[in-house]
Amino acid sequence: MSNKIKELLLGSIMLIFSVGYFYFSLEINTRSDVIDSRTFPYILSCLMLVLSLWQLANAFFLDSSKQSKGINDKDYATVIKTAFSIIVYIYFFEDIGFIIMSLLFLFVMFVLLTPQIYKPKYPMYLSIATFTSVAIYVIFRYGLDVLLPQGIITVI
Amino acid sequence: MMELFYNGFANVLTPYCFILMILGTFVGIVFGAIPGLSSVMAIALFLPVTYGMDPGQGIAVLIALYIGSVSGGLISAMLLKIPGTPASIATCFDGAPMVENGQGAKAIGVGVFFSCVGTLISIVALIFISPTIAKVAIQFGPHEFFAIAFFSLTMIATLSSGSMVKGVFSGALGLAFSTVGMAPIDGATRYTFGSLELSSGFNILTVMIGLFAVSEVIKMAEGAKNATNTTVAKVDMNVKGMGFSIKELYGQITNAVRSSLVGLGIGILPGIGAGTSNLVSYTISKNQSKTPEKYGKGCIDGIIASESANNASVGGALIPLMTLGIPGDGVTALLLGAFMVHGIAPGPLLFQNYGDLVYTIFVACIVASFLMLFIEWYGMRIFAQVLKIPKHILLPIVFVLCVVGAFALSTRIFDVYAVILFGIVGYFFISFRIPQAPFVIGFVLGGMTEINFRRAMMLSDNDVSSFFLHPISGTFIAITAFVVCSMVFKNYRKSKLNNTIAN
Repeated sequence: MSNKIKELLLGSIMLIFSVGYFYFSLEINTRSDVIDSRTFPYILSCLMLVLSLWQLANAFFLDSSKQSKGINDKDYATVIKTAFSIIVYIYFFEDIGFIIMSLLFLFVMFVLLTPQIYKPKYPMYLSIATFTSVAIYVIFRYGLDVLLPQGIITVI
Repeated sequence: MMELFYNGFANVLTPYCFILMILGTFVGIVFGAIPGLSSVMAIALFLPVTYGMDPGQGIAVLIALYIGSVSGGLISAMLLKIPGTPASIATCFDGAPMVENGQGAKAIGVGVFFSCVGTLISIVALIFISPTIAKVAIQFGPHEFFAIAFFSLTMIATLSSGSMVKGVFSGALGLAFSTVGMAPIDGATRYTFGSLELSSGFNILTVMIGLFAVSEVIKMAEGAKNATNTTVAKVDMNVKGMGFSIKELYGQITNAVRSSLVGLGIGILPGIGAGTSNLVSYTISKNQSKTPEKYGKGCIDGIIASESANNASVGGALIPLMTLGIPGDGVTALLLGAFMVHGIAPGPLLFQNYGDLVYTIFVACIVASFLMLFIEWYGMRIFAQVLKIPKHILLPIVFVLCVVGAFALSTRIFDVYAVILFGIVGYFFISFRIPQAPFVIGFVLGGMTEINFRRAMMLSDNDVSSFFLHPISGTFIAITAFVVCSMVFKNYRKSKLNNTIAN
């Protein structure tokens, strides 16, 4: 992706956000006062709108032959799998419980993030994931009185 | 006074109290170092332990916890690029690059030493001029608070290295996120989309964890498979002294004193604390530096600015608490609770009626500063061992701790979702090379800016000139205008010079 396209994309995202922010500011209950709850969001949305147009203008005049640095080195497949793992972990965090979900999450992340030059050590990863999840739960629940979701394990 | 100091030392240096303070400082450092845990949590957990103790000793232990936790944030900020507490956000900017450049021991030594210096400077102010400072602080009204917030927000431009447009947009975005929830004054709901959880807005801790921790994990995932090195960071703690020379120490005196005074000033004002002071001090230091281009790439000036200020805010926050009985932040609110549990009412008569207790607290602050220095410096040898854990094992565990910290805030899964949201925002920033610091400043100061602006306008019947007519706010606005003009002039001269060189 060229630098120009990347910067234009950024400017577009900024513009969409600014317009969205302004649009939803119209739903704020307003009073007849000069300064009310809508004033600050209104000023901010105008500022962001100006900045996004400025960004688009700057991007328009960039040299389209220059490439973005390091874009080809990024492993987006692992990023997507990591993001998916995080979402699943959080989604089932309360229902399934902290210990089980953290154990599964840690194990999956250890395997996902192991560099290709190393072989994943599944038994070790499982042991570390189990120990860490239980230890964190016990320390926080009984040592620091922080409630963490029990989920389906109700004996602890 | 000397007799009171002597009694204070006698109270604090009893074996029982001293051992508890060592433990308190160590636990505080651990709480500060783990992202997701905070000073408030540490003190809330240990407050019941102090109920049965002598008031002076109980409060001494809590102060040791406070000082340890504020400084402990630098450990994860430098080693993991994730600030342990909001007070160490700015420490990340130069601490982490120094560790990457093989100067980890120097970065840590500088951070720990000047944390101690910042605390001591604020304690001197607390001991000798706290009633005077409190009298000035009480004159701060909405106009003055707005002027300070406005001044701090304009510093965003200083932090916008590279692209001013992106930096200012980042700051505006932070301000925008701070408007989510119930509006100040009239309570109108903004950007809640009918959600009850969004009515209370976002917490700074979720913003910090998401922006720094989650984005770091996702960033790591980008290059995980192709990595050849699994070490998080290498820190060789076998250095002479604390890793920096006497010449470097002398060269940083101005920076340290200025940053400590900024931290002290900000710490005194209720509602603003170490979370803001480290960022404001960093931007002022960068603005005043002859080599601002070195900031963000690994220079000790940035670390000193951040760590002196955040620890100086500790003494600053104790000033309104002890002289006026007004807590400045969550931690001092808990300390106020500690006073009241022991049947002591902080305020103007505290110094008169409880002289022994007051000087015990002063001595506890001094002793805790040195305990923090020794425990953190020598304890780094233990912390450095944690770095031997491979990255792909350590970072997911840190992420789980961050999730626990976010959940523990209010026992709501919403806060964890908020962490994910800000993680996405953080990754977006990294991908498009948008600076994160302005976002944090905008978020932290947004609420304060708006509420004080609206209050000031209500008090002055929508008369904008009132900001210039109040002496303190007028002074701050004049300083802001001067700083903005000098920045614009500097940029103009720089671009003219660049054009001349190009021609």
